[in-house]
Amino acid sequence: MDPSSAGAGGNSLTSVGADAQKRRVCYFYDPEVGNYYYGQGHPMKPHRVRMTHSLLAHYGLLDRMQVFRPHPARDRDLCRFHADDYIAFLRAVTPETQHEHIRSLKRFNVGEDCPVFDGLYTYCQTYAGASVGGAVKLNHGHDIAINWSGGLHHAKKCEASGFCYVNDIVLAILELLKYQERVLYVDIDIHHGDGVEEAFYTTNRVMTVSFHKFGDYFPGTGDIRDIGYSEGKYYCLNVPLDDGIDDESYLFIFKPIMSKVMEMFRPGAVVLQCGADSLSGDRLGCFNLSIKGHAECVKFMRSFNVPLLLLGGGGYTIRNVARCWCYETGVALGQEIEDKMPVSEYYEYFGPDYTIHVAPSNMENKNTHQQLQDIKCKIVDNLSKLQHAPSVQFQERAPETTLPEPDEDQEDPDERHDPDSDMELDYHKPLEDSARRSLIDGTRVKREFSEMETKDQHGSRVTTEPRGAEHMAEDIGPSKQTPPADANAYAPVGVKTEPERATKVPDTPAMNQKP
Amino acid sequence: MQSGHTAENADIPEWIGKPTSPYEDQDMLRFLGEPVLIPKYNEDFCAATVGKGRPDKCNCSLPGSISCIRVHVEDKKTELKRELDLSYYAMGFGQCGEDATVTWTKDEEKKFETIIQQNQPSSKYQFFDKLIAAFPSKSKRAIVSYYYNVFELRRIALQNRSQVVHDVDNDDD
Repeated sequence: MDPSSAGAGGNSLTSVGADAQKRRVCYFYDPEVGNYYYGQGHPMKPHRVRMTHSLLAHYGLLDRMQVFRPHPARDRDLCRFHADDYIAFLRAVTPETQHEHIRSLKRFNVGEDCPVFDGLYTYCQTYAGASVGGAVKLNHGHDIAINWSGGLHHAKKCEASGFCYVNDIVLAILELLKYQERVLYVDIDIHHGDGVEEAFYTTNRVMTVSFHKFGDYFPGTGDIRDIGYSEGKYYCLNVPLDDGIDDESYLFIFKPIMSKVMEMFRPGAVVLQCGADSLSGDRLGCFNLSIKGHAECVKFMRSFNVPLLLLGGGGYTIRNVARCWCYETGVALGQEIEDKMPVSEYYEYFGPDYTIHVAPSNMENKNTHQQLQDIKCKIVDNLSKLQHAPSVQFQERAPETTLPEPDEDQEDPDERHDPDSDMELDYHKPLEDSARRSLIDGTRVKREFSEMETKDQHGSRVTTEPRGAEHMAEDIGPSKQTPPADANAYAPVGVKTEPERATKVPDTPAMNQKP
Repeated sequence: MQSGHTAENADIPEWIGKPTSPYEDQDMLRFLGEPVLIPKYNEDFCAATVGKGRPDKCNCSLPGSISCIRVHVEDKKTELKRELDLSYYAMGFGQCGEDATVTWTKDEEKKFETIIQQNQPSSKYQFFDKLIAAFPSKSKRAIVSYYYNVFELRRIALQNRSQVVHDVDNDDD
């Protein structure tokens, strides 16, 4: 980016080699990451991070950045966000002893989507340590920090979810908040960034923006009407999208929204979760983005010249994940890379064409222009309700009472939107194993094994039921791996659809057979 | 004003301004990590090679064949080794790809293949458990490493060159 446009943002990057000098880029990589194994048939494969590393090394990109081996996070680092007993459990459980922890497995949602595997805790320590390391680097003056092993955005304070155990993103943001008054979180994974949103739902120091598939899709949250609560009201944006979105449609909505966000929020640092399951042809995803389209989001956020933490996330067609994150490493460095791949250790994964770019499919884009326009308008409207961030850092924000508020006494508009809120539900019925979602009456009900947590009106949060869902309390939330009952025609080949029970990709046997 | 704090939210301190002194929290400085590669690049030197793809032609008798690729991968690895020096090993490249066969005998490799073949389709059979049982002297890590670095790559290499159209998604594990 040329100096004259520094700070103006929103301009596409010119890929001039010298421009890389204007971005100090550091990159965290642990050589053991590729050997963690979630289990046979599980779609999450840390090996993809090793493939990415090999590819970018053979493209000559290592030369242009500082490479660090991450320092593992300790228990107390993880407990900066996570509950002590949850971390203690993650540390203690092993595949051999998990049968002794049945209650805990259920309580913490470990064992199915989030299996126990060898080295699980070390894996968590490492990917979290890398993200926190990235944040420390940015606080030290680096421009961009990269950790492709991170971005595990579903993990919650007290439970695992969607293949995520500890939330490295929350930990990294907490570190950034030591040096920045405001941090922006952007999530382009196909799944809603629920763990991060939840963590920062009530603060105005972190704005969370998530672009995701919404509607009978894991995790079920991310309604456009969920905008934050209390001091955090209007500091949460959700952009719900439908199947088959392509580059043009996605950027049509991404760029103007993010421009407005940067203008109104003025963050001191940006964290971008680059989940690659929004790419065309993903094993679990249903979007139709090309690598260039996905990377354009990275380019765009980079162009604002604000310290940037790039993280991984989802991505289950691993050859495309490696392509994408390798290409985006190039983008971070301001370096275009040739389409014809150099040979590398994992070259054959990229056959038969051995090119970086892969054409998107001809799947139908279910997002009409009108729908996208409506979404854009709603979001921009919410954004306009933010006060302009003060340009001087030390100036305090005006208290929330100066913002226009609807009738707070009559209804609580800050509760997560729930279309069925007048429904009577029997929430004393024991939840089935996979029903992780809260019930919709404002009380967060945990698993039957843990205590009921009741909170007062202002303390409680409700997760949203999917738009138009007729889900009753006893419905089981979808596993991240299971396509919804009415899976579109572009579900991965060989996958049958299951009406209810969240099992694994149905052609395979139950993945984690109890020993 | 509500504190807005709930059990699920992160605990965020109030902003009191940017710390004036450098990083105070010595404890957090350990997260700077261990430097593996700090470039001393000369911009001119790098410009020609950064981002470069593969050449259009090679001198192999059967260009694009499995053996041709193997030769070129070896060459590329040698080049990378020269470039990165000790960082090459620190980053685990010494155990990537065919290098992972170093601790496996030919018999063991044959046995590995046989077990997988005998447990197809992988959607139905737990080949991984059988591998663990068949190689008690090998760690699970070694088995996973061999699977991804050697076995799967060789299988995909054959698939890439076969006339049969395979499932686009070759992640059938």
